[in-house]
Amino acid sequence: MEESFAPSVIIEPHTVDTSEAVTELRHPLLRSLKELALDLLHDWVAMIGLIGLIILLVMAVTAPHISPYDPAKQSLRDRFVPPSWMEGGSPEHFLGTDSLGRDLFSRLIFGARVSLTIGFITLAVTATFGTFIGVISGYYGGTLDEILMRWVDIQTAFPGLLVAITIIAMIGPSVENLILVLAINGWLIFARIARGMTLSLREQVFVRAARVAGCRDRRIIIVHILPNLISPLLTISVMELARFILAEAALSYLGLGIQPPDSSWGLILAQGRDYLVNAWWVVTFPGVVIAMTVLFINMVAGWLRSVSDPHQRFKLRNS
Amino acid sequence: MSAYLARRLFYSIAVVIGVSVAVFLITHQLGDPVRMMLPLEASEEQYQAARQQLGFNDPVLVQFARFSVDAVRGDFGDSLWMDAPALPLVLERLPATFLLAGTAIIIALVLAVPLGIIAALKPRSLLDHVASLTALLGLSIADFWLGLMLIFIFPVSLGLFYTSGYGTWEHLVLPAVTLAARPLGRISQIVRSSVLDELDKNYVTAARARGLSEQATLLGHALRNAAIPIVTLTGFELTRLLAGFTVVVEAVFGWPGVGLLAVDAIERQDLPLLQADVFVVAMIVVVINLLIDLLYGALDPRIRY
Repeated sequence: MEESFAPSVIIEPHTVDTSEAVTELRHPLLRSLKELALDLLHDWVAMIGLIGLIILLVMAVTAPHISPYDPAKQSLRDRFVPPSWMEGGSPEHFLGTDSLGRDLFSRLIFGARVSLTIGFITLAVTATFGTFIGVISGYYGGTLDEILMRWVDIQTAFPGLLVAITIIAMIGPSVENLILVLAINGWLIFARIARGMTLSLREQVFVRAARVAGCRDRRIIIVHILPNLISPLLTISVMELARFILAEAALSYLGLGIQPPDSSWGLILAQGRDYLVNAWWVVTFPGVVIAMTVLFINMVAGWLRSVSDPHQRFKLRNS
Repeated sequence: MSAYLARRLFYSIAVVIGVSVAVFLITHQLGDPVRMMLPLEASEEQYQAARQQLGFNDPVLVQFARFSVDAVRGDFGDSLWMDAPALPLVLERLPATFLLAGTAIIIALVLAVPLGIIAALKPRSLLDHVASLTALLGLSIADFWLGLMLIFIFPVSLGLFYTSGYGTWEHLVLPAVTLAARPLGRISQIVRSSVLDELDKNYVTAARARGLSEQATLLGHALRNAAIPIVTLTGFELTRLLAGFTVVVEAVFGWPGVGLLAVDAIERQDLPLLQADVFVVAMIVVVINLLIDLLYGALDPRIRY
């Protein structure tokens, strides 16, 4: 279940002349904010994505303050109230209520917390572990590299989601286990890309100079190699975040992810499934929120991809 | 060629072994498989007796050796739920999954290739933006949600097609369309970018200079060279559908394939069946990956193994 709509440059860095790209990437953090903002202004798609994402994050963080109701509060008198703009809808429940009379809007706001938190934690775990393995593998090379990369190859060939649900079936569903199975599949792409970049960086003049100057391996990796990986890995991270959010939703939908009374978008959707015919809104809105979130993330990813590629950035600026 | 083939085969065998070890570890060492297979009211003595009888008290390596020998013989034990050997139960479900995933990939290809080409011919035009947005939407929508929405729109509201079931093409339409959304997005993105890349190259300029029509340049030259990444990605997407996405879509539509079987096996705590299911799907993924690799050579005569 590995996403890789990354540009071919990133998939196989050693097949292209990376010297130019690497120079460009050398100081990704130093590129002025003004320049980044300029790029952003030229790309309205990215702008929408970024603003949408920020709104969602603010909603997730401030959930207890902005949510109109307690998301778990049941009210059997108010079951299946339609959205406020529909006939029979009530202004008290903007998006209506579910089969237990819980306010759907409040539940979605709180669900955002769970879904986004799991996405970000999984991302942190996979990016750290994958990058570590990739850098070690690329930097030291030899047998270690061979073993680690064969491991990555073999695991890539696994039926990811099926293995994930099997593991969950064996160890039981919980938030920790959910993050674990998502991470098991997620670190591979980070390892592969970090290794490829490290392989070419290792031969760059500035790394060789550092080695001649007597730097230890650890210092070379932390000071000279890792900063150059940030830009390409950032793009992958954003795309992976989208994938984790979708995968969490799917597992929760199958009953193998978040368990009640906790709630995530996928679970809200699953709970509304049996009432699709008389209460379409309980199924529809969580799906819309998932799609919007992932769409926003993908829009930002597209922009990051084009700014980290100097050729594309040139085209963007001059169009 | 033969050296390459040998290397690929060796690699495939390594994957098969890796998969076996993983399936064994997951189903025998994670959690408590014996507890899972016994009814809830089983006493402690019954539990211990079952552990002993099923061999869970043996050393891990002995257990793994037994598991491997049985797996090679195609013996994954009897399904607890259906009370029959597990492997035939899984194999019996395969055609349904192949039909579903195959149809979905064909739908995705048929729509994605023109969509990507249109976008590539007029980059940054309105058409390109619409095509790119369609692709992004396909990637961003949760497939199970799309399935439920289609169920609500077609069978529930319009009385068209079926909410679930298997047998006629009318049963196939909704699950296949649902499953096609994601590969559609991915394939049209790669078609756009690879056609765009090819159109920039010198041989295309040369073809145009020779007075070739735009259509002949595109179809005869650019598209042929763009085919390799497209075929690679399509094959990759097919394995991804088989290896996971069919699970969710089959569950939504009650489509009797290997994915739904896995979900049912989990629900019924049927370990032998689940184990056989994962194993069979993993083998299929390995075989398809091998076939894709071999296909490269046929597509691109420059590739000599």
